[in-house]
Amino acid sequence: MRTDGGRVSSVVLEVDGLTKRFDDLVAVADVGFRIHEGETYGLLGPNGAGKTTTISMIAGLLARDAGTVRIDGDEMTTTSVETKAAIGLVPQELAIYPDLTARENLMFFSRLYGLKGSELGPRVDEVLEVIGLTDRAGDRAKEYSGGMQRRLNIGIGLLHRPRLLILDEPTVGVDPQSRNAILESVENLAGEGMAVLYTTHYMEEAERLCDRVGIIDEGTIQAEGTRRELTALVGGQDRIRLTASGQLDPAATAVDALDVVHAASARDGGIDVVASDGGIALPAILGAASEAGANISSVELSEPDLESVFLHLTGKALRD
Amino acid sequence: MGAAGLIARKDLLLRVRDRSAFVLGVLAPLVLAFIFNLILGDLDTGGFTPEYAVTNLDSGGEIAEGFVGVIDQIESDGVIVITERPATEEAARSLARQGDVAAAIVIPDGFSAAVQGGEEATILVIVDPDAPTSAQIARSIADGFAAEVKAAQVAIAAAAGAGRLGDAEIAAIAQRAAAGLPGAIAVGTVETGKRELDLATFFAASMSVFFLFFTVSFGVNGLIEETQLGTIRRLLAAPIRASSIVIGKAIVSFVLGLVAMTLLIVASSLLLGAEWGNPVGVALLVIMGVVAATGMMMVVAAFARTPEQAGNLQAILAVGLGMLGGIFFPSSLGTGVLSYLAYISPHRWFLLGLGDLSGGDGISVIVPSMLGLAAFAGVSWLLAMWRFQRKGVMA
Repeated sequence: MRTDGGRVSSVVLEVDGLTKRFDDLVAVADVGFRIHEGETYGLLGPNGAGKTTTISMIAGLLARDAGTVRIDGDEMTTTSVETKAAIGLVPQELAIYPDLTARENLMFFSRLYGLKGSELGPRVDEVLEVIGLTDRAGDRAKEYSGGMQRRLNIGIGLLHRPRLLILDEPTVGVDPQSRNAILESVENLAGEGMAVLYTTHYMEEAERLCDRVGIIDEGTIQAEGTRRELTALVGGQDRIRLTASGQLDPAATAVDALDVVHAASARDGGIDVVASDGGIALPAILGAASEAGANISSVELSEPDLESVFLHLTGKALRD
Repeated sequence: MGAAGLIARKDLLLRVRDRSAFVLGVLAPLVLAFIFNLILGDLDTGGFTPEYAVTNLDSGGEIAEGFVGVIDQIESDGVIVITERPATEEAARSLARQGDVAAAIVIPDGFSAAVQGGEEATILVIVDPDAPTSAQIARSIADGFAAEVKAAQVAIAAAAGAGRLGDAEIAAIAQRAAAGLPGAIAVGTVETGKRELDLATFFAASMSVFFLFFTVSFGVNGLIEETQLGTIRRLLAAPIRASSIVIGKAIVSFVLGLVAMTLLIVASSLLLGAEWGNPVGVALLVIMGVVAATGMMMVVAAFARTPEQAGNLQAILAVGLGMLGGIFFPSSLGTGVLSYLAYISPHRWFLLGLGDLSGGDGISVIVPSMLGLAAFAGVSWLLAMWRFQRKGVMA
């Protein structure tokens, strides 16, 4: 239980000491966090950080080597049947039947989750409305655009009003319009009291949606907290983005060696820098980068964000 | 409806929309059975009557005349036609060489005396290599006669050796053996015919069981498709037992197989004049055949990684076992090792069961075939379940 602005909310998901090995590779190591009802928790990390492995164990798809997962106090394992009813899973890859219509897809999964009788049809209509596919409900899913298929993919996870909705990178490969629609839907769901576990490597999404964020890298949670708590870890450090060409890696190394710089990393045609008091440090940073062979075309200075936090914690950029 | 039923219903809807299961499971076998029947149907409708030449160089010999009598009897039954009776072995050879007859049977001079004296005697069967089936029939006639003669020789030798019989009694045995020969061979032919399906039924049945293996694969391959579509993660995350997924797919295979076989039986009976036999016996064979085919295709689906890989392996298995099991030619034409190897094919057991049923002796005659099919079903289902358990979809 916790008190949230006078409101008492209970823990929906409790994860402790979660560990998974694949032969010699430790994919997830001692991961633990909690999500309360009505809360959106983000697992933020680059590809390969262990996000999907973590949620696979939480959803009972993958056996864990150590640790516990409890949904509303009930232990989750790969053979749990009742406990799985509390979860709605939206996998990263599309998981729909392209030769069925949206309505048929939703009807099938509704029944699988135990919906029947008079509640079945109205609930399917409701979800079609939420995902904006009412007008195209009778068309086969293979005739939809990528964004519409993504929305259907999410809709299936909502059908049975789960206590915990797990969304695994739901906006990957989605057009901006559909992406915005998806993010709005998630915001509304949390507002209705659903606990949401949202994995992403998009910092902007985590900042917009998540009440709390766990920063995950190489299978471990590096830090956890609200956006304010996390950016406080960076202290008064600013984020500087140098758009540049030429010798970017040596330039990043040279910049990183400066006393005022906490971390620097070359990526996507530029160098990301986290530095104390960016305005004052900027001349030294530009000089070091230019001397090391970088041709700088523009500079962007911003206050700390989750990207800066990730860089600060791991020494690398989120999208490396 | 349970989870397995829901999954099966969803898959059946997809299969109905897809239509390939209908094309492969019903249309293709029916068309092929029709074509085979059109091409080879004359074999058992009187159109196919092998033509032979017979040369008896032991004219007047008791055993030789007996053998000629046997051949004449078979001819009068309408099974063969003796078109030539050349006077010399050379003339007989020439007829076979030129393809004027499918085979020439030559009884050499002194044949009867040699047999009666307990010496080795040879009936010469000169065959046209371009007519292997007819040649095989000629050989069978000669082999059958030789076997009877040999049996008579052994009986006489045994009796004489024991010293219990005099010359008159031994002569009487020989007389009876010679006299009984035509009847013995005639009976043997009739018995063989009893356990064979007519060609219309044979091709309808063989094509049906051949394509059955492809039809049932539509169900079990759904498991691999779920993996490819990513929906397997949703199914495994749903509040259902993982085994429901496999059971659902197996139900689809079973229903598709059963529907396809039923349609084929009805259609081939109406359109091709196929006579499948006792309905209860046929139903039992079909059910067990579908269960065995589903199990075998499921093993492949359990081990394959992609639908393409599964499809290729299943095609190899279905075609290989089908050919081994004699789906393209009646089993009576198979000889040697192949006829024994055929028993490692479920197709063989299925056709054997139908053949046994065609004798009209009730459904108890299909017990061996049912046991054979059950063995295939049992082994393959166990193997598939073991594999699925290891893959985490049978918890």
